[in-house]
Amino acid sequence: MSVLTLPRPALAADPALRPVISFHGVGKTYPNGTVALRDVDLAIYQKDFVFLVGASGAGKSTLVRLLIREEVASSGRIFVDGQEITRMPRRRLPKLRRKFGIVFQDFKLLPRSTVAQNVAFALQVTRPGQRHLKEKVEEALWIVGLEDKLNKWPDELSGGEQQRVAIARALVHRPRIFLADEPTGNLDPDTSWGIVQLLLQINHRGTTVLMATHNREVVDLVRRRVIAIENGRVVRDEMEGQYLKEGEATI
Amino acid sequence: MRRVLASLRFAAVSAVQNFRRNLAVSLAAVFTMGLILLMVGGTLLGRHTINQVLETEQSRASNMRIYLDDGASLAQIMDFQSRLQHDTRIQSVRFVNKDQAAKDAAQQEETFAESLRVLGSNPLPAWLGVTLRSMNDLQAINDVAHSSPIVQQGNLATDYNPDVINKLRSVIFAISLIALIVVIVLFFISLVIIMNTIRTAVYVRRREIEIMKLVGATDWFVRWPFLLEGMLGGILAAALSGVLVAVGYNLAVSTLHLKLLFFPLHYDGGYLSVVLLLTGGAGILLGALGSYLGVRRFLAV
Repeated sequence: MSVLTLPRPALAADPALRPVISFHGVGKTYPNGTVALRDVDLAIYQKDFVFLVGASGAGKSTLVRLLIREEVASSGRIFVDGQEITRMPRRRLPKLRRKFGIVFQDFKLLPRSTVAQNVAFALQVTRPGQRHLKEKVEEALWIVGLEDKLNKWPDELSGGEQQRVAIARALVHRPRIFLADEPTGNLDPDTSWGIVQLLLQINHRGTTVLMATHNREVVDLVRRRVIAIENGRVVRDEMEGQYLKEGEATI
Repeated sequence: MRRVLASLRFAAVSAVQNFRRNLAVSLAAVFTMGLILLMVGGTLLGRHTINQVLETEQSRASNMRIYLDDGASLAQIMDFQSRLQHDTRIQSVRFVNKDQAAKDAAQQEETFAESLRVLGSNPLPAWLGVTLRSMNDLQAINDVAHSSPIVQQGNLATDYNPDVINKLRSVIFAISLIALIVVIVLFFISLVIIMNTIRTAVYVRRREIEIMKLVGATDWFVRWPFLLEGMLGGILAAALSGVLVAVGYNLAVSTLHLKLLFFPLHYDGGYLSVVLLLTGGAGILLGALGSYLGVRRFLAV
């Protein structure tokens, strides 16, 4: 198995395609002086499946937050779907965020709503009066394999099932890009594997997937593109990467 | 249209849900706001009642006597009187001749009749009783009187006393000012209360708001339920205070009437409805504004 190391930004993807996400010399310094990202360049294309790896505090979450404009870049430019988002006015952020489906380590489900209500919520608040709401919710839950748990409460589900509900909620509006920030952080290895399988399936249907993780087994097993961040810099960008650089010592 | 209705329904359902989930906090806010609106209504009605009394005083104060020189002929007096009557600032002019003045004086004080007989002549001047439309014009009419040749000279020209008038005027001004300050202070207090109530409500729902923002709900979509919740509280508070104000005003007027028979105050239903509308509007406005400010911080994601 050969590991292809590429100059950044990754050039392997079809150059005729415009990147779905691109960073150009992006830096982020927080008001307290912490430098989270320095001079990041990268390009992610339609149908890419990308692992974003690095130790805690390396800058993975900052990168995700910049993408959905929860944070604003201090320098450089970020494009999403051809639009520059670094100077996008606030009123256009809802439209930007609807291009993404996002899941987090802590699921972020509404505890007082059923599984179906949690998924429907995403559509109700972005597209009030949506037709065929029930069918769309059922379809999303079918994709994640929870079609028989529609009326359960979140606390009646296992961690893996809760994350599946979160994934269904992130999918129900058919986003172009799927962002997962440590989606398996709270899950045991078997369950994590199930979640990653699901993300690969979603990617297979044509959705770009970006998954920030430090789950080494998963990254090494799946062998997809890996972007490694260390101290706010992209230190590695490989098409069939591993969690650690080849030859790097195991801690 | 369908989307607007769906948004409205979502907002209304969440607003009522919020209100009920934090029932204790919501009710506390409604009662406090109701109390504040009650004080506002009470202040307004109190000021109105005091104004009623003062207006009567004011109409009394806007009378002035112009004392005429003994040498003035009747023709000159009639001429001057008609000139005054044509002045738009003057409501009416009444002529009292020397004999009438003496008779009036004798009637008011018995010893005066005696003095008149001893004197053998009548020292009292004839006068013109002038009633002005507004007491603000007293000074001007006083000047007109002073410039007429048939009016007595100097301090004897009129009974105009600017001190009393000015005092009355400053009392009216002070009462209005105090009422205004009280209303403004109460307005801000209730704004802070609403803000904090909504903050609590927002805090309880912060997760929901976070998700709404993440999946791409607009700011207004997030804001509406809280605005409606605030307005709902405002309406309830206004209704509560409205009932108390209406009943209280009625009771106060009838009690005062019994105690102070000759006090020139009366039940003013028209003004009461103005106050009720005003406090109702203020309740809704306060609720909406307080919520807007309360949510603002949490929306900045």
